[in-house]
Amino acid sequence: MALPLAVVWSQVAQQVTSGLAAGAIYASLALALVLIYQTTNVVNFAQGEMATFTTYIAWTIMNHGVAYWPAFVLTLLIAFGGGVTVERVLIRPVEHRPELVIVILTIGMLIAINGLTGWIWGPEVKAFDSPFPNRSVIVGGVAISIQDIGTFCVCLGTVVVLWLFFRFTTLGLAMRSVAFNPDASRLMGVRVGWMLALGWGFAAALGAVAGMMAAPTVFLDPDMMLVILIYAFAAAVLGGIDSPVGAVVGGLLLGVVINLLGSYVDFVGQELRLPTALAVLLLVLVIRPRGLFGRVVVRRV
Amino acid sequence: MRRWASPVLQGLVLAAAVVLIVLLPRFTSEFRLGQFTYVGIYFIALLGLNILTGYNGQISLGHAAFMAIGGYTAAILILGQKGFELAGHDPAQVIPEHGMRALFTIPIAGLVTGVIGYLFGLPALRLAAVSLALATLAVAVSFPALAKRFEHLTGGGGGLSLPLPHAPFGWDISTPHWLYYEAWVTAAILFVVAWLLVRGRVGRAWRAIRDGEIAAVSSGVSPAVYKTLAFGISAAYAGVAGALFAIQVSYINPDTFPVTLSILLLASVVIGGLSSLSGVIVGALVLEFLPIYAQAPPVLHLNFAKQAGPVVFGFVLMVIVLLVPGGMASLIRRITRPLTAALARKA
Amino acid sequence: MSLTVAEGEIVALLGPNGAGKTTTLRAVSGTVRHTGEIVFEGKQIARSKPDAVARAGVAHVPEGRGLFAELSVWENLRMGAYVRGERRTLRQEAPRVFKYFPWLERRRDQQAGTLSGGEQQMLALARALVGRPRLLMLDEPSLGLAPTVVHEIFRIVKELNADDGLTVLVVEQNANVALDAAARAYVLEVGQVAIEGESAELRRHEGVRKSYLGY
Repeated sequence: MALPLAVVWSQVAQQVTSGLAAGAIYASLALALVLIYQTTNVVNFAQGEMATFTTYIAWTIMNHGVAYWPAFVLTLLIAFGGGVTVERVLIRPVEHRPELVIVILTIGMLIAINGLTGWIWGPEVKAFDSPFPNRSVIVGGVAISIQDIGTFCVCLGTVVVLWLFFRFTTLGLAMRSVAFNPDASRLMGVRVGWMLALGWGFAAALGAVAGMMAAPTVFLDPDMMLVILIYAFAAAVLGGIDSPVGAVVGGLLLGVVINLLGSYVDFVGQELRLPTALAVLLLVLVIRPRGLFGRVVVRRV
Repeated sequence: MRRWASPVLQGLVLAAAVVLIVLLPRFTSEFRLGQFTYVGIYFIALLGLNILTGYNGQISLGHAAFMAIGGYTAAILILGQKGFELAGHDPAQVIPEHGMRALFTIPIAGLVTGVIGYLFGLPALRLAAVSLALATLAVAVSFPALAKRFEHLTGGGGGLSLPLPHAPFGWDISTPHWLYYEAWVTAAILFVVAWLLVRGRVGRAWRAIRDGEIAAVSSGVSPAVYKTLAFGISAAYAGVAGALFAIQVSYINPDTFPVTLSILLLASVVIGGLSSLSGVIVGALVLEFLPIYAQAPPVLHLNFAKQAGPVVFGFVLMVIVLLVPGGMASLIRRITRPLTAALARKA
Repeated sequence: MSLTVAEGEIVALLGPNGAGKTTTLRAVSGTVRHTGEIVFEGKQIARSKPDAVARAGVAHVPEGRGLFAELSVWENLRMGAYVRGERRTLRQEAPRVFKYFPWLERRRDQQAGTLSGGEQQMLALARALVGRPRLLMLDEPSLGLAPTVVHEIFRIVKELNADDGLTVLVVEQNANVALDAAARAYVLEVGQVAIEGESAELRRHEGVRKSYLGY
């Protein structure tokens, strides 16, 4: 225990930064869940599998000699189209059925997409390129991996772009209005059905970002997003399932906390990170069911 | 006249099913028999899941974890302390006398899992349907990690090898036959229990809560009591199924009950038909045979990759959800209705 | 039942609860299933979806106002302009609307849900106006509001009608106020038009006076 304070500090700082990188991935996928929850009012269990599938598409595109960033953008477009199509074809017919029915439909998608991924690309683990160099930079005595910085920036950059879109564009406003009050939106001339489809499109694209950022470290395999989906859900619930800000903050928080617990609490270690996240999830739900940032509707009648 | 024609027909179908199950071992190979033993085990797990999801409206994606708890309970009891110490070193040395008779561990596994399920149901009360689904999925995903972490109990990743099961009390039947009857007699008992529960006061309370919690409260039903009860009973069923499963394969490790199984269990309940006890048998058949036949469709002489199973499973589930909300049970009922009507007219 | 609203006219729909006033408006805006015929500016819109009706130029301020409580005042106005392409319309129409509701401009960043009932009703009205509707339908604008606020709202509606020839179909419980603003009115009873005529004429009608005006 005679470690100099500076060493301890730099270790902790390293754990925090790599926690932030992982957290940014959870945040992206959590935000995807929230986007769909806000519009369709269900949690999309296939979100992770959709992300995995699109990450495999990115892998295929890159294997055909396309450079990383063009492949990245192309994948986002494909994911977006896929998300829109899924909503139009599968979700639309059950839109007005009970929540349970839609949830089960997304579970059907989970099973089918997971199988399809394994069928098309095989079950073996694949390496996935990272766009960032495998080096570290030293900032204030702390070695931070460029991979972590890049992951964090790409994920949060995507989130910021989305935020600007929702805040300032007409389409973004219309999508938000649909989330809050679909009936009133219809009276404003909004094609509500298409807004829902766009919501699924954006969610799928966000998932693709999360998948492509996660793949270099967790490696590409058909089940790679299952655990990340659960972290993302825990993050979304932590922040309040209807709060986009909450999803992002919850994701980052969870990433850092889990990383620190995993590194410094022996009992948790590597293996028990997921059960720990689950415990956090249950605790939050029991103490504060609407999460940290859950919506308190201010309304005067 | 119609009023009694339907129960009579139901009774006839049930009787035919019992005869079929009893006589089946005479006509099939031991390999096939093993498959039908799994059908019986799945039948039990699906009964439990249908009580929770179909009759009480709570989704669980964690039933494989409950099966695993039942399986480990049975395995640990069968090995006993001494057998447990030996199991790690040399499974061949383990002899049945070290622990409990396999048959007796089944109800205990059910009880233990039921209590754990009941306890899990308590915090679950505060969860909305969807959060519950994800919380239970998280349980199923974390269970293998937990099982590996508590190595001294579970044998870690290496798992626990059990002694090969034999028919007890000196019965002179082969092991596969014994396992088949063990599974199906248990299934029959639990079917009757489920039927009585669902028909009675408890079942009415469950359905009332599923159809509207507020209305249920105002008619004097306590959601907290009945929802946790449903969780406990459902878990107990899964625990029994898990124990039977572990005995059947005489081995258990953290991956014996994977997350995939949890998800497929829920899918099978829906495919068979939510809140339909007769749909459960269809669900159990689908769960065992659909992946096999999807991979190698009979007659067509095709052979697909292993993943064809889940793909077809997923698509069947989606088609059922989109087109046949009542599941296969309602489809069968729709097809047989003309027959029932004809019978009623004759009578 | 059959009713017409001419361009540039304010028409009131009166009648007891359950007479079908709200349903009539909802039939026009396409938010309820019905079997009738609805012709708007020569086009059949009876089978159109609500968003298509809105884009055709019908603004419906529904019961309960249909505001986006979580969005700001300004964002609600932006939604009002959505039908005609948000940005250009808003640039042209917002100043015009602010003339009638000057306080809205000062409080454009306030969350709509935190406004008082009267303010919310005015915001709903303003939001509808930003889209420059060819027909404005108001459902019970006076509901739950103080008399002075109700008068203020109807004053603005009349002003808009006089200034720009705005066409209005208004459903009201408060027959006095409605007849004051409207040129013509229909009295509905159990899904039927019971009485129709000029406002002045209806004021003299004995049945209307007894049942709706209270003298």
